[in-house]
Amino acid sequence: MARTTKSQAYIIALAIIAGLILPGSFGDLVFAGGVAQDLLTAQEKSGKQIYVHGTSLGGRKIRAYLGESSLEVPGETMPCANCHGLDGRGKPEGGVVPSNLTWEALTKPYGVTRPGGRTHPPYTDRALELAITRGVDPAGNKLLNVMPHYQLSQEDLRDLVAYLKRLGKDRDPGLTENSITIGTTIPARADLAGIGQAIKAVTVAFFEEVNSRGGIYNRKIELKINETADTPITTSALVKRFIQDEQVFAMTSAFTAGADKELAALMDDLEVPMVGPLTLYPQGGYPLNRHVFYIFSGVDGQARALVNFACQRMPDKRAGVLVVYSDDEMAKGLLEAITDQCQESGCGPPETYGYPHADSYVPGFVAKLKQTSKSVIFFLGTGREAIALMQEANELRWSPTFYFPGVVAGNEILGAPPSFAQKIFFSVPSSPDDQTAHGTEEFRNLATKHKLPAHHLAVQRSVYAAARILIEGLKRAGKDLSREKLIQALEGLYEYPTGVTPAVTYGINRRIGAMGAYVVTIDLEKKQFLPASGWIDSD
Amino acid sequence: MLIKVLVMLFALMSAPATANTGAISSPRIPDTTVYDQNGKQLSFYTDLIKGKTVAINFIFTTCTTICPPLTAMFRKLQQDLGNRIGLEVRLISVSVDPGTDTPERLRDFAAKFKAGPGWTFVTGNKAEIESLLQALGAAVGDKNDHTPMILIGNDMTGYWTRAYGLTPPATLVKVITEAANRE
Repeated sequence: MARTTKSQAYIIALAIIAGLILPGSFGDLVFAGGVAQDLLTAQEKSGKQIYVHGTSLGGRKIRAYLGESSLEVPGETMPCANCHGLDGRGKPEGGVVPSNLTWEALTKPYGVTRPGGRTHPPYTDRALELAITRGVDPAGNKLLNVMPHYQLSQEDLRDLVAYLKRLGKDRDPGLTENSITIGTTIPARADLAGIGQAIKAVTVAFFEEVNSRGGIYNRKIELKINETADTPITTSALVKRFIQDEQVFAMTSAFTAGADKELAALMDDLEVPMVGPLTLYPQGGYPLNRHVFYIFSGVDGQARALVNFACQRMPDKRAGVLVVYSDDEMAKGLLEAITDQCQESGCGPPETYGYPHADSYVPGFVAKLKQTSKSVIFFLGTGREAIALMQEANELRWSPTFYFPGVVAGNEILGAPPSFAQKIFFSVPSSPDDQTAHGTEEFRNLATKHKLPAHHLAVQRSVYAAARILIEGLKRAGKDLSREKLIQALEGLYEYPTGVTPAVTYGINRRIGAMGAYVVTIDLEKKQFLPASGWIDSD
Repeated sequence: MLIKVLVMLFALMSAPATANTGAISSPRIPDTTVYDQNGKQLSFYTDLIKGKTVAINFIFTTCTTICPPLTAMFRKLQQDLGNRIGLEVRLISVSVDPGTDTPERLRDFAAKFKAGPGWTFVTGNKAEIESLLQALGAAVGDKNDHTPMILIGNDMTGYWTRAYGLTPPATLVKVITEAANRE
């Protein structure tokens, strides 16, 4: 039963991560963000903000006017990059071919002839200002009428022109002709040192292999590592400073548990792609955070798969289900996911009950549940609470089926009364079945060659998968790399086999690679976990 | 292909007064099941076209070059048509990329351009939206090649016409008013 042992190890490893959700204590430590070492000057940086986002770093107004009409919109509705692209070379759409705005193209000494036949001499700073504000080229010709003219302050205009001279040549931070800087974050807490070692060992080993084969388009991967802090807010500040100081291009397998929201928001803010953060709470909902690519479903995604599984097993879906929850933050989000998925699966709306605050209320509570004559319970609470409920139900000769979305910390559940044999189910985001023969062999070879630690194998596999996904994205993004191109390449991954996790798929609207779960059950006699289902998609 | 489109574009732009191409034969508009930007299920013909004068454009939310100007144009129409919007005239933006454009994405897009009541963004099942686009004469193989066209029609009279998407708003208002008032 090597398989069940592996499942168990995985569940326990994840349970450890689950136990880390730190209370959001907002200490009074304030970090004054690190020194930005952007490759651009302050003026160019301000110009880039206008070019990419249509907004002024100085907070000044930027307005866009379309055609000859009085059609006025905020600059952010039509920033330059919308049409001309982040690289300045133009994104043709609907028959509109935006000009190439790279400085070489604009200042060709022999002038420019546009596809429509319009010709003009080379641009100068002043000519560019006129093109932007009045919509005319250096020959005085009107520009295409889809090119808005902009109203912006002299200062912003000068900044924009300064940036246009760098456009197409400015590289994202962390990128040189022969290196790509990748960062990761490991937990600082002493009791999590093992996880930190696992992250570090696997990532170092994997990138060493990549580098020994010539790197990615002759660029070597340089790994930088930092550590978490005590609170989400200080961790976020530390990671911010780390990314800016070390010029990190992208992040892999960062340990974000406990600061999930903060770090995801930070990546979005700094526009740094992050692949495979270690967390049970992926922030994959709408509105989408474009910069963070998760591997596994969070507890809510798993809950949806579990609902599909449960509803399918019900002899009569109309009988409906119960949800029992403890009063915590995690339960609130889960309640919503379960309710929604029950409706989708046709077994629902569920009846929801809050778990009693005092043990003395449990018997009455269980009697009330029994009276509903329902026989399916989704339980969102601790193992201890579940056992108390089961024991009381046992007294009343009632044995409903229990479903636990995600993991229940602790091993108490193994002590459930025998009347619940084959009536306890959990969801897990990955199973040993995901490990292909080839994937297992490659991972084992890496482990042997680089003497990877023998502990935290589940964490190691997740870290390994993240590194593979990131490297695949970097390869697909091509030699002319940028963070944006990496994001687009990752969005193109469809059923990509990591060899050690379920295959991952991302898309414009999707940031969770393996959306779904497996269901496992417990053999109460042998105290073992057993697989109960194949992969259940929850997309 | 691109050159052809461009030539057409320039021809249209140089003569904004004749931006509409005159009456076209009235398209048979299917009652496709679609979803609006609030996720509400609608029947395209019954709920959006029947008995109304409409202006329909074609967009997708990841389109950044031509769609923002086209949408800004509709925003301007919404302002200029004032209280006639929703009553006799309806604005419709059909996504040509229904696979990506979820109602949520359309809602964000609509909010960005301050779309108000009487202006509906629609998406739906990929195959069904494709046949809808076919019926409206706006089907394209590659979404990036979609034509910046506005389809204007009056269901009561069966008068339909097309206009270039970036025709000056005043001209468009005239074309729409004409369609609404036409016997």
